[in-house]
Amino acid sequence: MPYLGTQPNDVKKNTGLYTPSEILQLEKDGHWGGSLELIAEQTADGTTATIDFLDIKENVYDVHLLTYNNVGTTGTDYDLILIRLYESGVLESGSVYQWANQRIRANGGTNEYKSTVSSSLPPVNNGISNQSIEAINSYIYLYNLGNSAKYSFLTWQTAQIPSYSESQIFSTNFGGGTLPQASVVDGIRLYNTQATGASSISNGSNFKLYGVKQ
Amino acid sequence: MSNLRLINETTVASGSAVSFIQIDDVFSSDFDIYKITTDLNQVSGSASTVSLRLVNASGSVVTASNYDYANLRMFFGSAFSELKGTNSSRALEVFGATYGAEPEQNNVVTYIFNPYSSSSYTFTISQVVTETNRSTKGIAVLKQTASMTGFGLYSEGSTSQYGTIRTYGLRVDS
Repeated sequence: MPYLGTQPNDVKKNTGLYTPSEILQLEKDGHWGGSLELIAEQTADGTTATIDFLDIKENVYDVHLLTYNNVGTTGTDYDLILIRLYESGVLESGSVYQWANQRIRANGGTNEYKSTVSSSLPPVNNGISNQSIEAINSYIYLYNLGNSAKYSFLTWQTAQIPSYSESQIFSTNFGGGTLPQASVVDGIRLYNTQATGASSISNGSNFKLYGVKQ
Repeated sequence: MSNLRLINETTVASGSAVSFIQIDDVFSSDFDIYKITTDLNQVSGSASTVSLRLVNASGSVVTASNYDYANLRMFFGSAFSELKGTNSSRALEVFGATYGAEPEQNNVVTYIFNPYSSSSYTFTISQVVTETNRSTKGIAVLKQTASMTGFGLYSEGSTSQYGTIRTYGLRVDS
């Protein structure tokens, strides 16, 4: 039997099986925990280098989940799709971000990447080009965005086919970072670094932003 | 529909901070896999790694030297390092580390596998961002074929820690 009493702390006989009416009642009471709400989804059309999420419900959720799905670029090489955050509507592009990444390549190679004076947060450190098999797939957890008393923190993991200039050897990145400023973050920018000249996020690149219900 | 079931939420206020936070009666036969999220701070003092200890079905904290663990610490401003051990009395850095009070904070996601099973070991996977210092990816195991019903967050530096710990069960639909 599912537990319908005071939640949380339903520590006994909570098999997770709920009837539709029980779910509706729990949702109404605000006790249906642990699910994801899709806040926004954006798919690139190949004409822009930036994608902004500017309505992120930071006052509702203390944890957000951002996903990259089959993200590519139109550039010739070394393009990265990185993250910057908006604080009270103002994009933070100063060298204030801190992060660290470990890359593991399918050929056995590993790399460390890190910075304490970065102008962005990189769930991936290895560029891609416009070749169709190259792509970035990531999940990123973001914490405390709406809390003006706390810094914002992120963890991520990425699976990627990098650029032909890196022999398109499959690799994964995992790591985390922070915007070490006690502020309200109310927007997220994803942008192409355009390392080899003007280029865009490729057509069909998909990004989803979820709120994690507690 | 969500497959996460919130089983327990424990909040320790800064005024009630303790060096060992124990969460009882969260693992049961209802679930095989659990997800634990934490946000932790410490009141004061030097940095302290936060380790895992499990609680057995008798309610006793397992302090036997049966834990193995391995972590990659990815520092934002210095060389990465490994933190690993075998036959330890706790699993280090499963819950990252604490450095100070807000606006710093430690955020963790840990998955625990088969804690309630009396025929298999208990395994964990963690991903952590520890304040403005590092991110950590780690694994651990308790090498006991005994049923575990709870867990604890152990401050290596005996510093008083506070925050919120949420435990979810992962519902599996057949």
